[in-house]
Amino acid sequence: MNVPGDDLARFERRIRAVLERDAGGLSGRVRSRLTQARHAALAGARARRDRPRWPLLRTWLPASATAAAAVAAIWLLRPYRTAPPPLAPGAGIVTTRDVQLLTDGDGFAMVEDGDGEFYEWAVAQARSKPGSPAGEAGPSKHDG
Amino acid sequence: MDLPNSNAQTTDHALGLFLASVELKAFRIARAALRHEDDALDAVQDAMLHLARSYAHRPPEQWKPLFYRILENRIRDMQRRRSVRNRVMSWLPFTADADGESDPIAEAVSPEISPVRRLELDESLVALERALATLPRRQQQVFLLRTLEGLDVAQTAHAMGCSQGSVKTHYFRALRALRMQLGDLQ
Repeated sequence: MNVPGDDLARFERRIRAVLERDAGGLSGRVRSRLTQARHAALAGARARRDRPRWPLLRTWLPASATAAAAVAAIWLLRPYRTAPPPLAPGAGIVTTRDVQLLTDGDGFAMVEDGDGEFYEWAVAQARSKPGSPAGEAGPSKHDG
Repeated sequence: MDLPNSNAQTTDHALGLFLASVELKAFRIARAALRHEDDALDAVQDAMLHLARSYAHRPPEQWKPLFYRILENRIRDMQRRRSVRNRVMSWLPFTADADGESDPIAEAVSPEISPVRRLELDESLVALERALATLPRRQQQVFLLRTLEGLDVAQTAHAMGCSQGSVKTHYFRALRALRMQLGDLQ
């Protein structure tokens, strides 16, 4: 009795035999091209193996090392400077207003006289006539 | 003694032997899929170059499945390209003859088989090639890798980029289809 699996297995063996018979049936042109392809592949493998692994690194490594050494030398040989002592908050800062106060003799005189009236007037003038400078009306006070 | 150089020579020698052992079968597998001799030669050459450049450093026992994986990818690429080209060409008005018939030479199934060679070939082989050409591509490739190249299921699965279950299914279907077409092959 024929089992389908056995039948297929026998058929498979026959196919194998037919295919193996054909191994010598290829033309000389095909064989020649396959041989050329094989040699080309082997040459490609050799070329890849002989190629330097890190061509860019080889090129750039000396230049990078030189540059790094130059930067390190500049850093080490720079003139030595001591840091200034820390300042107290607000100390040592001189503004223009301070200079004006020191140089303004009238201001000192007014402060010494305690003449606050002038300032009250100046403020009132400025409120009543926003366009007129307080200094212009100053002499009228003394006139009255 | 230069050990690295010696190792390189050994690898070259082993690779040369390996390529020589697979080239004829690989060509026949590619030809069965592409149905064109020059395309098949190109595919095999590309696969050889790729293997030699990228995988020569791998252990030799890995070469065969890797090589057929590369060949399979190359065949698929060529088939896709051919399919796109045919689709584009079908839109061009000057590709068909004046009477609307296509070029019989361009459409010939196996232009590489000359009449002289046909006479030389065994009848069984011609019948087998014809039957193989009717199989779906995956079935055909699995069948040839298993039968002609002798890869086992795992190696075939690796070469085809599919599961071992798929390999078994494709192989059985191919065998059954060929059996139905060929009957008792002598």
